[in-house]
Amino acid sequence: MDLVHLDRVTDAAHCLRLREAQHVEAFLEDFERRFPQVFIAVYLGVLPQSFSVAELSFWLLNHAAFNHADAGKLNEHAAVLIIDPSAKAVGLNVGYSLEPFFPVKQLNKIVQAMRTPLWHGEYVGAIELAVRRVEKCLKRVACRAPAQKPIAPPPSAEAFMNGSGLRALRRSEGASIVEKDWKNASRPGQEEEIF
Amino acid sequence: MRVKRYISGFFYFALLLSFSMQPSEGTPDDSKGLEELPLPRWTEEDPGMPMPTAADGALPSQLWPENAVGELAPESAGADSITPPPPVNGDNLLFFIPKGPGKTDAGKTASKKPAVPLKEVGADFVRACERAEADSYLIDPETVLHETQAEDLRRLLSYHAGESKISSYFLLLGQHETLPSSLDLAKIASGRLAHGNTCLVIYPLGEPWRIRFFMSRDITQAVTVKYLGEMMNACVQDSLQATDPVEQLQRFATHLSIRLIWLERAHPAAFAIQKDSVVAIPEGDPTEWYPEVTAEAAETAPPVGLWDQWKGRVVIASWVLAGGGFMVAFALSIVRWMRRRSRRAVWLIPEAEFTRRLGGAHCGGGGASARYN
Repeated sequence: MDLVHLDRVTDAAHCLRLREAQHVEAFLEDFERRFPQVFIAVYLGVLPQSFSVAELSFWLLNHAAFNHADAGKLNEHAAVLIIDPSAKAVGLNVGYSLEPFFPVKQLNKIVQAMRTPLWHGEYVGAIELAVRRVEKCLKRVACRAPAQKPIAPPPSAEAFMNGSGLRALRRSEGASIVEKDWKNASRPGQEEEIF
Repeated sequence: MRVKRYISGFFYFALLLSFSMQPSEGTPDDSKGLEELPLPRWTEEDPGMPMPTAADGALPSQLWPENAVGELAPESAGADSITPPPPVNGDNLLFFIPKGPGKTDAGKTASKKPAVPLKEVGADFVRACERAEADSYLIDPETVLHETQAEDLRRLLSYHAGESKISSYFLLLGQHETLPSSLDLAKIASGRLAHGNTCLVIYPLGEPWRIRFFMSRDITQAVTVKYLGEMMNACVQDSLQATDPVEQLQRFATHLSIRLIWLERAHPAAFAIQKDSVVAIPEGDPTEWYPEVTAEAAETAPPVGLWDQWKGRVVIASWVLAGGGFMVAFALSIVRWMRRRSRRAVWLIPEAEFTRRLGGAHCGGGGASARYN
């Protein structure tokens, strides 16, 4: 089966408001900053009756391509949280690399702790609770290290112009600046109007 | 038939009963035949007041209230009353209320000047005061107190001298007695007053408002006059709560003992000198080395400024606020440092070896799930 594309937060059941979805996404991004090897994906959707949350989490971890900052992360370091608001079921699954730190007993504790906020319809609170529990478990086995993010200067002016996000109003003859603007990407033909 | 007989019998019985209860009009003179009971009569041998006669006209005045006026007054109300008329201010009801030992009356007596002129004590009295032993805190040359009362007071003063740094001496006078102006305080109690911190109370028994109170100069210099005057006034007021002279003396001594201990705790710097150190007695006015404390001094003392009154508290509050602010700032700086440290740091988990199972490339288990309905 082909791979499927999934964001950090996928709200197929429309349980979250826009502000709540943004808040959860920012919360997950912070988690990824603290644990650069690990990422968590949240899926809220109504599943068919013949499909359980455990089966979906297993399938997603093996067939989904998650959208996160570092594309080099493998799904072995992922944790998937599935919430089915219709069946009122919640599931949590982790990849191979996280299995030694999250035995089934520990996963059950996290899932059981989410039941009360979920029963009250507090999806954001339940997701935050699960992420905090995961973070707490990881901190027991992880080691702290200073954040090293080397920033190298651009090798040439052309590379700088290409990566700076600046757009030239007139094409220079000697330089070939690649237009890369996400705002105008969806509106082809605007460039011709400007020129 | 039987019922008819019963009804007729009942009718006759009722008729007979009605005749027997109805007063008969035809026999008005039958009551005259009964013997009239005699009324009691006054005789000369009867005790009490003589029997009044109608000619005296005193009978109605004794039946009516003496001072009744207005419509209730009988015709003879205008006659002179036997008892004197009530006072003009109308507080005659107070005659029937017993007077208790109230503070108001005591205060009135305190402000009263003695009507009897004061009499100076003799030379024997002064000599006895001077010969008194140094540890006799109660000096009573005329034995105005009974033996048991004096012993109680002596025990109290001895106990106070053991507990406090200020020894209090009581010199008892009788009523309407006063000390001569030539009395030398330095010689009283064998010169004990010049040693350490002492105070002398000259107590006329039964007249607490004439009490004279002397203290060592070191104390009067360290403590404000207002404080000492208020202390003296409080002791006198407490003694005036009682009416019995001996009880007044006991209350005064007890209150003075408490107040002296308060004074000692409130001004610890005033008692830096040793208890038995000897004070140099200058020549001349004895009040210079052993000044007198009066209650009037508290009223005439200059008022203490607001800054002097609150200075200590302001300083303490400033220190507390500064300390609290420093602690809060220190805690905030620690929290900020920890946040910065956590922002700059990342957590790295160890790489673990694993074997793939169930055909899963990245995951080989179902995890955990639960229902929340």
